[in-house]
Amino acid sequence: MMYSIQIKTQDGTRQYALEASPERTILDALEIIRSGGEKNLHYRHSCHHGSCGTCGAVINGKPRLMCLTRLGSLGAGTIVLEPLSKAETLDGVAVFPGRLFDSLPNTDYLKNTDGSAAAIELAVPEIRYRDIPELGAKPKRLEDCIECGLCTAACPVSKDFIGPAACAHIHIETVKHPETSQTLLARAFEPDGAPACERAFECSRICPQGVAPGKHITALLMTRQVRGTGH
Amino acid sequence: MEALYDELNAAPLPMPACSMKKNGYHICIIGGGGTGGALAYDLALRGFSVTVLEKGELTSGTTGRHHGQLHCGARYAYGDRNIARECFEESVILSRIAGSCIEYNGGFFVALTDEEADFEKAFIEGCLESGIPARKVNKEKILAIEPRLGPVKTGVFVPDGTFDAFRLPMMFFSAAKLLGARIMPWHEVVGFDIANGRMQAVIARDLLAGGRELRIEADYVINASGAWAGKIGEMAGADIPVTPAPGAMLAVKGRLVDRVISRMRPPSDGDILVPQRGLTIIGSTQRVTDNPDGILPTEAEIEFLKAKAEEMIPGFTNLPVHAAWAAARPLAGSRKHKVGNTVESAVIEDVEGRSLSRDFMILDHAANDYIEGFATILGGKATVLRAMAEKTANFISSALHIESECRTASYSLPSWREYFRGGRS
Repeated sequence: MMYSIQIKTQDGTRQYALEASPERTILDALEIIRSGGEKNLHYRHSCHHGSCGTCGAVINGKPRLMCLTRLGSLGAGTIVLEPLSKAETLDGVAVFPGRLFDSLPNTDYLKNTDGSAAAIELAVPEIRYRDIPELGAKPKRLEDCIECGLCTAACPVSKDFIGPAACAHIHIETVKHPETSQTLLARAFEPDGAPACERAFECSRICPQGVAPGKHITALLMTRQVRGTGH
Repeated sequence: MEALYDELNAAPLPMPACSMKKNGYHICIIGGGGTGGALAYDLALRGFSVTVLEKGELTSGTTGRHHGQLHCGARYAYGDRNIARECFEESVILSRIAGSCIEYNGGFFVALTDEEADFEKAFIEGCLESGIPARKVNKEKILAIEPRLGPVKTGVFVPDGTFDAFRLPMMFFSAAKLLGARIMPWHEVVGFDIANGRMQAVIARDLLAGGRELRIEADYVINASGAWAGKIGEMAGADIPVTPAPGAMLAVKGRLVDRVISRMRPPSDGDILVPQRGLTIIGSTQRVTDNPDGILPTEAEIEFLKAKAEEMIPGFTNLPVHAAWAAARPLAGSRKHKVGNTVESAVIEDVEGRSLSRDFMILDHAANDYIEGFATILGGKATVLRAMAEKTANFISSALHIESECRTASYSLPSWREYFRGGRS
């Protein structure tokens, strides 16, 4: 199939055409175009499978990950790529996600999996090392949020707001570690925290990882309401 | 060994908050992958001034596309116990200094065929002799723990894990940045200034500033560009025997297993299942190519990987493909020296690539190409990135005749988020 891709920035537009299978992704397409000699095409990418969160862009008007968006899923017509909003544009669709990471607190990035702890007795040889995996241990996995900034880009709030991802981080941390997250929780209730949310829930609709930040913001606001009734 | 393990049992310290006392030497690293990041941190911690040049975003070459298996070394124990031993030590160190981005849940080597089951004894012996605590686990127990696995005959539990292939190297970049290293993504190396048989400076282009040229003078230049090392070498007139070897990987949505699953046999294609967040990744394949740019998986590779995954997890092929991608791994070819400074091009002994050494090497261009102050690092594995950096920094220190000590195993790394905080450096 022939595809036509337009990269639109404040400085103008650039048009590219390529032949590719509809199964290829937008990121694959940019890789094909660049390795074909287009030196001035810059974009962020790393894992190519939706784990790193670097390749977000506005694709036909919607913030999405380029590595998970197949060419064939976008219908006919020119595919329009724009840089994510609320981030510093470097060139083309490449941004520097500084504002996003300034807002994200350092939280525990691991959580329990659904998998069962293996309650199985084993003859364990004497092991001298601390902290290596044990068969009977409950498995842990990385958190779902890949810090891609799509939620922040999709959020219609225009006043100061730490953003849906930061609120989700804070809520998840307070549920996981209530005893050590009171300062963080207080941060979430500053004027540019959860109270700034306008309940559009675009964040939950756009999240490629099903984190549903809107749900976490609602939960955060509920904790204060519940607590508030006591006073 | 004993001393190392004692040390590892002590909790890592927080990284020193202030910059080290500078030793006055400036090192320029070419390549913003995991090796470049780990080296930048190691050197900065020793007091070197460091600049990292990367033509795209950090980790956008091969590093980020890794399936993320934290190798305990078991996979290599049968073939090379030294590699296995080092892998295990490094996996333990990484879990301690970068534990926040590692799913350290262990792994099973499973036998699906009689031949694989016959390999079990030698496999466990290899692990134990390499210092890796490997334990035989019977079929019923394995299936109770990982119920989605198919017809397993027997298996072995080993301390494998999964790391986030973007965030782990970014933790090293964060640390390097906090210690004052100049990290310069979007800067492409276009040439070198070599005079009197000595590397003087690297010439780079700022790709975000219309290709404006910069000259970066350095006391030592390290080519850590992996599969691109040959291209960089050409610009300096150094022949670097590296072959880009694309490997394909495929992910399905769903965490089908909680532990890394490997086939109990010598390393081969399509023999590893890696759980990562909510995904399961099957890896990998290997072919060789000339150009490391724009590598994509082929349809044949995708079908092959699905079929291999199906052998381990029945029903895998019915799941929709979440993503399929390929990474250009650098395969170091052997090289032969002639009289004088001409070097034959790389001799690749096996086009399939698997049997080539995946060990790490430092090519000193002073010895091979009569360029002082320039070396290329090649090969290695993601799990041993810290150790590769240690060896390289030792090598640089020795080339510059200065004393320095590696301390990267002692400190816990800062969050990957630090790299992006506080504006662009």
